[in-house]
Amino acid sequence: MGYDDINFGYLREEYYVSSILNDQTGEKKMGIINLEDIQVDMVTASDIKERSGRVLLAEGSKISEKHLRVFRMWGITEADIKGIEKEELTANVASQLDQNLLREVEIQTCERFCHVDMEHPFIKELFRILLLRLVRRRSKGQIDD
Amino acid sequence: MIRKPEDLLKGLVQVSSLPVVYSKINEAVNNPQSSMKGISDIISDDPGLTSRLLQLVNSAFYSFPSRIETVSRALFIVGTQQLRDLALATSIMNLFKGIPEDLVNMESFWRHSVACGLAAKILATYRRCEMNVERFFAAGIIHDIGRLIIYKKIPDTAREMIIRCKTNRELLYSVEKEVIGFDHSDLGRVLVQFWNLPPSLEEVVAYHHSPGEAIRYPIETAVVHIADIIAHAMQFGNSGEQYIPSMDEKAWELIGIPISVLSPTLDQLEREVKDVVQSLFGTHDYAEEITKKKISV
Repeated sequence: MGYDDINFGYLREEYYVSSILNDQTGEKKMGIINLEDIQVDMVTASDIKERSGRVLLAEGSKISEKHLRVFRMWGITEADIKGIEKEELTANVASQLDQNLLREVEIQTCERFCHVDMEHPFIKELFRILLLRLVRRRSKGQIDD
Repeated sequence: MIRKPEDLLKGLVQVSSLPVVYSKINEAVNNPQSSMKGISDIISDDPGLTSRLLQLVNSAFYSFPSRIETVSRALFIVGTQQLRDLALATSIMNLFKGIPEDLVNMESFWRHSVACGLAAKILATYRRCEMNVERFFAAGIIHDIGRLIIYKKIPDTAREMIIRCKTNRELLYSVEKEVIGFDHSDLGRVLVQFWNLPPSLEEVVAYHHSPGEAIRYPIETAVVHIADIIAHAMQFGNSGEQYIPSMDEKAWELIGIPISVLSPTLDQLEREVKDVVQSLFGTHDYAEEITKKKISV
């Protein structure tokens, strides 16, 4: 994975991306993933409902392009998908990125997060999205805003 | 000797000069007998405000399919209370000038405030039960207003505090409290009271770093608290704070939306911030257009 030998301890004990890249043994994680990560032919693990409770797509259905369009229209932002874990998706995406750049950006970003609880799900997600965006932007040669 | 927030407000021209036009609009909006035309006339009498409002309603803030050319149309489409709140946001942005550039770049300050306002608006929209999301935008715009008073009145102390935060990795609002005795949210609260702005804004400004203390408007305060964290994390401008401020865990629970909205929220925020900032500081001159129209009539 390429992260085993890196010691980030001087800043913070656990890093989100590095910790999930190393975490291959954890118990069964949630299969709820963001809409942007859902692809055609994935299968739902539970009913997808809009806010008032109406079922838009039943459990066990194969997702089509049309379903994705409907989800966007109804403001659906996540779905429970069979056989997929969010951490796995992030690890896949992260492993395809430039590891040196990822490490560099992670250290810089962590510095700004030093007063918040990195274990809080909201902060975890914010950090994850931000990190992946920054690395993608940097690797494309774009300067931070 | 500075003992309380009020001491710092003394002698500030900006404090006494919240445009009269805002209170006139507010009065008209709250008066059940006033007409749309009446409200529209009050706004149209101020070409600067008219121009800024039209820029804003024609920006990515709403992304309307066609252009809104007049205040009366904006009032019909956006709503009277909503347009009043936008008027407040843009009026306040025009107030503070003459702050030393090395302390804070004003565009950067307002970019942070606009980003916070827009993030608050987007989060409020996801709640699906807010009728007036524009007030969240206005609240976001003014949440750090107290900081401008610190920069204006005690620039040397402000400079020392900013350097200390950079050196010791501290949060500016905690250092403010320690050094001055109160922080920018206490100052902002006094200013909001002085201007006679709605109590919801007062509570948001006062408790945006400690949303648990908000009693009457906990949701509004929690939304702006989270929006502030998002704006800092995304590094849209800067109000002086180097680090992402601490988060009250209960605030996120209180808003009651799933974590998965964060990704589309950030996408939308990136799109809107650039355009709205440009619309508020941009070059397209509606004021000139309106003057021309008036002359030709």
